[in-house]
Amino acid sequence: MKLEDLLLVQPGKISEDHVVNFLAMLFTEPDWLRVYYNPPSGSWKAVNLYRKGYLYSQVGPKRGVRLIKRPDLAVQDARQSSLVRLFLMEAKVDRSDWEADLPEKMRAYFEGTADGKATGLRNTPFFHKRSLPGGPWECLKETDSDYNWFKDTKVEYLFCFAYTVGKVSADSEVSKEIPWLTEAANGVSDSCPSLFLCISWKEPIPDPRVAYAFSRTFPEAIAGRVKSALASYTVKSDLQ
Amino acid sequence: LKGGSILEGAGFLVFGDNLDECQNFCRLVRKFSKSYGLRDLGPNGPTDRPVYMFAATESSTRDQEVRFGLYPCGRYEDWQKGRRPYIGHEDPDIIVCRIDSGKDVPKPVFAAEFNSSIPAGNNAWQRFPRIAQAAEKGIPFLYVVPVCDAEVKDGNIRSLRHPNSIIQIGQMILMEKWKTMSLTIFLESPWYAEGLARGLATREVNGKEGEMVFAGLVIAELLRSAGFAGDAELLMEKSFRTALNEMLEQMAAFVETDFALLKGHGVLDATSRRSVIDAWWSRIKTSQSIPPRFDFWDWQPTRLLKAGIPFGKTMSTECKYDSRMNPLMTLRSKPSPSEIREFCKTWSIELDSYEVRGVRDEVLKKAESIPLSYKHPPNELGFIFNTKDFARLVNSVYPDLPSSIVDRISKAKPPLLFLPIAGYVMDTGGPAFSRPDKGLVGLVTTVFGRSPHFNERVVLLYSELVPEGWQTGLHAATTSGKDWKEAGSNNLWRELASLATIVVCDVHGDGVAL
Repeated sequence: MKLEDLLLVQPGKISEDHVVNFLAMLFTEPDWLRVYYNPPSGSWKAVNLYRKGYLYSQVGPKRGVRLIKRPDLAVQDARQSSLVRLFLMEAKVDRSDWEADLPEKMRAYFEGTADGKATGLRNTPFFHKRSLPGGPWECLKETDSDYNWFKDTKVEYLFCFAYTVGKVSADSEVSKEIPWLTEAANGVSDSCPSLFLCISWKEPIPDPRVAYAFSRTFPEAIAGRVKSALASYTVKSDLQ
Repeated sequence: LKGGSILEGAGFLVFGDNLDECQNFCRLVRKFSKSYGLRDLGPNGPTDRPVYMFAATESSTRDQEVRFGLYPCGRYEDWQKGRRPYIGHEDPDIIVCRIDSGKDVPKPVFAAEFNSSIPAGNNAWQRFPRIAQAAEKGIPFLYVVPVCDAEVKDGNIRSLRHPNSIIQIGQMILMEKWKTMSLTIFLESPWYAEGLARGLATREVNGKEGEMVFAGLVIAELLRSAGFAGDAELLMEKSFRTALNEMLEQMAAFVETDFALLKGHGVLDATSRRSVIDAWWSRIKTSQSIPPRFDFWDWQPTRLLKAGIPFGKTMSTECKYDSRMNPLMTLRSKPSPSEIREFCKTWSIELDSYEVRGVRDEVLKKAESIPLSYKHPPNELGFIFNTKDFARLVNSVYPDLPSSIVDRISKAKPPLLFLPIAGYVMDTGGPAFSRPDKGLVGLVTTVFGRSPHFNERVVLLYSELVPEGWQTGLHAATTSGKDWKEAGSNNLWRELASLATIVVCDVHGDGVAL
């Protein structure tokens, strides 16, 4: 059969899985390293972080009801070595699922809560590391200098809220989302630099189309990288 | 699209629990494609969901190159019922389907289940029904699990564990029965070194080659389905032998803890390893019978009596079974004199010839009188030879049980298979049928349920959450052609309907014979 025919075999509906998968395929090596991924029906506990040519592995905390939020996807900036820059992302089907405290809850997955009711990942040491690529696993002991490195290092957080308007026949159906995206981006606090992203798939072959907006404090250099990664999917250039 | 319509050959759809698992599956094939003689043509199509394309040349006809593509389709529930594959009432992590045109109903050719961690205790077998249903449908299946793992909570290590090898025992039986490949692939784990130090992993099975063996088996299946007979067969046999050898190593290493009943059996003898692998390969390849010396699933009563271990179940659910029945089903390691007397009275053991103090070993030698099991306690199921006293015990705890059921238990030709399970647990939003128990029932059906020696198989449900009128759902599961879900059934009832001949419910004190 022909390639075109295979691509025309399409699911009945677009779901959160398609949204988070788009993010996972977009924010990938060599620019971004996958730290954590929790797609629908997945219960991935493994958290990986990268430092000085090593991959560090840990088991993430469980979801704390109403206190912390496991991001659907977390990636680490591979170009940044002086600190750990984490991009935490939440994928939904509908934009109405956006909640103003979502970035803080995702941050709490790593930092814990101020009242100590939920332990963040930074407060637990890493058990294992391996040199990249694919070296043997080594157990970390309390006496090792990098046993608590994640707790001691500086961490910077960026956030992303992504949703979908499903399958579309025209780009204008995605452009319509720009006012909401802009308003949402303007509404987040300065301490939560965020990207708001709407994804759709243009029929018949499901070709991704996006519209997006950055909040005021989103670092310009990173925004530039994101824009260039999104360029071929963007329905209207230079939305900012 | 890069290169236009360059795919002329076999198309495969990869369905799963989510797109990430489907993409990972495709990427794994890509990672090892060169090692197995495939040409990687790269992903093609939309960036987020490309077709992963490969080309292969059959060694016997070098001039004919055939291409095939893997297309990640994502999760089952996003597809309409008629457009997605089914291999049974449970969906595994991955089903790979062959299609010849875009309008085809996807036809499963292969399935897999991935465990990123090793399930604890009673959860070890929760995915077993998926393995069994694939075998029944003749679909090759790979169960992928780390070679060692730890349970970690809030940064603290709660336990270190090895994969329970009863799953591999079940797969050996499935392969024998259905003549279809069903293998476990052990993967590398960060916890391997700790496991090795504590005897929970072996030097022979370290998981380092796991991904490659997995990819070899997958590529062989894809090639076979795409029409590459010769090369596919060679690759399949080589990968099958490697995987089965590791399964047998694990089974032999953990036979004492996981399945003591098989200790000393020829199928786990290291000197017979090659013959065992030959036998199972011939079974799935040419349907040859397994030599009798390797048959371990017949469960002759004499063998159970000789190698069985006293039954002992630990539980924390408050119920009549826990307070009144279980203490008399098992004799603890250091019983008091009164406990010994009570136990012996229940199972009609004459104590006159023994001193009461320190008679545990003598009591346990009377194997035909007391419930036995397949491994050291804690365990899950009992083999009951003394059915009359068992019937008396059941009747005393559940006096409202129909006399016909008590009679049937009493008159059962021993051994009787006894499986006490919770059945229902409190889940988010209310009581739900338990996934571990559902898995356990499916596993017991495969490992013990087909033996002709267990004429009666009694399942006791001890959860207080078993709903009233539970029999309706159970009966619906036994009736084909009806909408079993609407009739109040669920996958636990479906598994029970395959195994049990009698079901007793603790909280309602009633029961049914099937």
